[in-house]
Amino acid sequence: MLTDVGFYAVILALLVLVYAAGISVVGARRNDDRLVQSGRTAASLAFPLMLIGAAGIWAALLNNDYGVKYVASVSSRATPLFFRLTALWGAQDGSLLFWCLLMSIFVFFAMRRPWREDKSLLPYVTATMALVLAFFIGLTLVSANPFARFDFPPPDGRGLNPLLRHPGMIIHPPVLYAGFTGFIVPFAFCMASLITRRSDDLWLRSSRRWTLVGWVFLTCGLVLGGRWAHDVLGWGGYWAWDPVENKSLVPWLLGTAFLHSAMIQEKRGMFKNWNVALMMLTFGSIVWATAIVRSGVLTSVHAFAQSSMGPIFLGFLVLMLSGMLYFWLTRLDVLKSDNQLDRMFSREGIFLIQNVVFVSSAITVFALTSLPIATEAFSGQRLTVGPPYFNAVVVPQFFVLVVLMGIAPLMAWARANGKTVARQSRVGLFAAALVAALWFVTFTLRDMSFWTVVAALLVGLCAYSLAITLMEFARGTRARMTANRENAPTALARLFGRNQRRYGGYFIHLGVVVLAIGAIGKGFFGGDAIRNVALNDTFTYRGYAFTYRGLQTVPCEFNDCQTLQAALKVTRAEAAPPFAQAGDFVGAIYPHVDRYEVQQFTSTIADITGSFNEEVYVILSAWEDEGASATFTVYINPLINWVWLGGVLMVVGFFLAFWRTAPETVARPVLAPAAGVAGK
Amino acid sequence: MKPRVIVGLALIFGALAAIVAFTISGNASLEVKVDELLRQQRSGIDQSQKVYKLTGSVVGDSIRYDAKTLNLQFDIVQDRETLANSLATPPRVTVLYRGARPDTLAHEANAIITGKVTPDGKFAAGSSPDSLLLQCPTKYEAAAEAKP
Repeated sequence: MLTDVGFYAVILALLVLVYAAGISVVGARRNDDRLVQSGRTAASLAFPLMLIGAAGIWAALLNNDYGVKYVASVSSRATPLFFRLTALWGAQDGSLLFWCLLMSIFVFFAMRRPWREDKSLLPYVTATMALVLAFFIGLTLVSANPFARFDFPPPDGRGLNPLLRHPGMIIHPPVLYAGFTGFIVPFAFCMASLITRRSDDLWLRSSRRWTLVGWVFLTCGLVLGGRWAHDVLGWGGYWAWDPVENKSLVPWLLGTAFLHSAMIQEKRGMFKNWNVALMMLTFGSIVWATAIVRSGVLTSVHAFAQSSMGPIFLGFLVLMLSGMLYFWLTRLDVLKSDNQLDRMFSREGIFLIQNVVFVSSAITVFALTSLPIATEAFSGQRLTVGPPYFNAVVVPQFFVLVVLMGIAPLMAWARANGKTVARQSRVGLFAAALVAALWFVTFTLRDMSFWTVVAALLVGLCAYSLAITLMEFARGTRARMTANRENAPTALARLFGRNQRRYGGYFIHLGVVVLAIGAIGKGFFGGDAIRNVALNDTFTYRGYAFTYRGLQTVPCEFNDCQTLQAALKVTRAEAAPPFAQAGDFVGAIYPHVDRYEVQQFTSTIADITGSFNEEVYVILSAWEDEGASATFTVYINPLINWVWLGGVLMVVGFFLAFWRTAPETVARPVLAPAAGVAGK
Repeated sequence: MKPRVIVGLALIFGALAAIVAFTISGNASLEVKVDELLRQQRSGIDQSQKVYKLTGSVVGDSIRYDAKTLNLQFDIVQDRETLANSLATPPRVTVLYRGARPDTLAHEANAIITGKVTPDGKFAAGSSPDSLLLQCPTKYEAAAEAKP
């Protein structure tokens, strides 16, 4: 019953959105605020209606209504309650409905916010958001209807795929979807600004916080997805340049470029055209990303099944891009910069270079990911490139960004002074040399090769940016301590409080550098081996000794599977100065294999030990004669925890930048020719 | 924006495009399905030097795994429909891989294998873990619908 109500609520949501779009445009044309407000109310209604729709599926999941095809495919009587709720996004149809629900939440809050100086944008913001959301709801109903029923319901469902039970996979899709759908707000403001021919930065200011929200969700989604892949898929890594991973990275790169260049428009009235283009590209890439995953057009381990959505998405993308291009090209006259870029050697110049690198890396990832489609269209043969090629072409661009992150804070607006920049770089350069040398002695010498030398240099670059960023905090704190006679903690706290965007941004930079160091550790110094070992025997790998203590069957967490668990004792095979001695106990680990009878599925779950700086990741690959011998795959992942730490720091940085403690004014910089001090 | 900035940007993008254009052919692999690989074999195309990304559906009863040597062998056919609809033995390719047996390796699983054709016409997957990929859970529902 509730499921049917849900179905009709979703249809109603589609209708009110079409009405909202139409009436808003008519209201704007006739200058009739009542019509505009009617559109606003209608668009807000989509959220409660979509919530009823989702509740319909939730009800079917909770009531074991296997007449609903979707419910039968993702849930079973044995599925624990909590996972029945999360099964809403366990497969294509439900997750698309969930995607629409999340987008409707953003639409709701954007509609309900106070509209004051930006009221002129309201009708077109409403229309843009309503049309985009209506498309996705329509797509759900036409191509992936989660409410569809069987003529003859099966007695039980298949249950949620065991691989999706990881906390990372429960949180990852909603977070990533929130990242994607969150960008609808800045995109709608951008389009509204174009349509109304505004030349100022009102759309940027009105949507800046929304952009940040979309960005942080996207960041969290990427990191959580990596964590899930690392914990569950049993390959020890976190990023494999799979099309479905790449499609989330492209909007992130473009969105991050936008967050930076938007600052230049706010501060200097420049890059207007570029910002509009970036926002349109970001949202376009989100639709492209969704199309890739949901149509099965690219070969990926993650992609959803082949579906009929490809042509529908293509049609929508073409329509959307044509609309965006039309409004952009017909508004080029109002998008002229207030100021000119005088010198590349300035804060703006560095921002421009950084933006170019962000965009070029996004284009590279996009082009390489789309290569099979493009080559098939031209030659009939699908060409594809693997992770090594991505690493060779894209990763160097990322390190250019890391260096720019260190240089930018030292540059003054409009015209930087070379000598000052050089003087202020000294500490950074010293840190870079010191850390690179230490790294070289500690790690590279142990495993000398061209690539480990490159790694030492890259870590040096990271150290440079890290030192400069920390110095920014130190300098700001010291200035407050001197000027206001504050103690250090107070000065630091107030520094953040008064300049949230700036120092929150720097904090995010710290996270990026930490993440980059983690990626270097894992990428250049990680290793793996497969070893067969008899009961109570020991094998060694990369300084660790693994003693196999046996195999046993233990109860499974939710009593719906059989768990076969191996026991391994891990000790140090050799000393690791200055702290670890040979023979030191590292940990007892229990990698296991879960066998799910209902789903006829086996899940191999790794166990992890080691230290914060070096992870030892072991999976049980095979066993013989009831455990008389077993085969283990061991991954040594140096610094991989820095990747997760970097992700956490980036999110903390977001909160520091986002949470309003004091009203902040966007001051345009006072420009002095050849300013000696780095711009504030 | 000043012309020299535009020229600079064009140079950066141009250089990047040139690097990709010149290096890509040596690093790209050809994405094929089982029938296409077999068609190439029949028409006498030399496959020995090429790297392929081969996709197909796993034939469940062909899976052989030696836990001691970690040698894994299985056959794949064009797609799931071929498996479901063929009464006779459909055209197939034998895949060889050395490593841990993936969890998701089962009848009808969609496999993506990067590797080379051996002289005896089998398909040897590369040694890196991502040389043998099996479609991950979100693909799962299609299998569910195939056998309600």
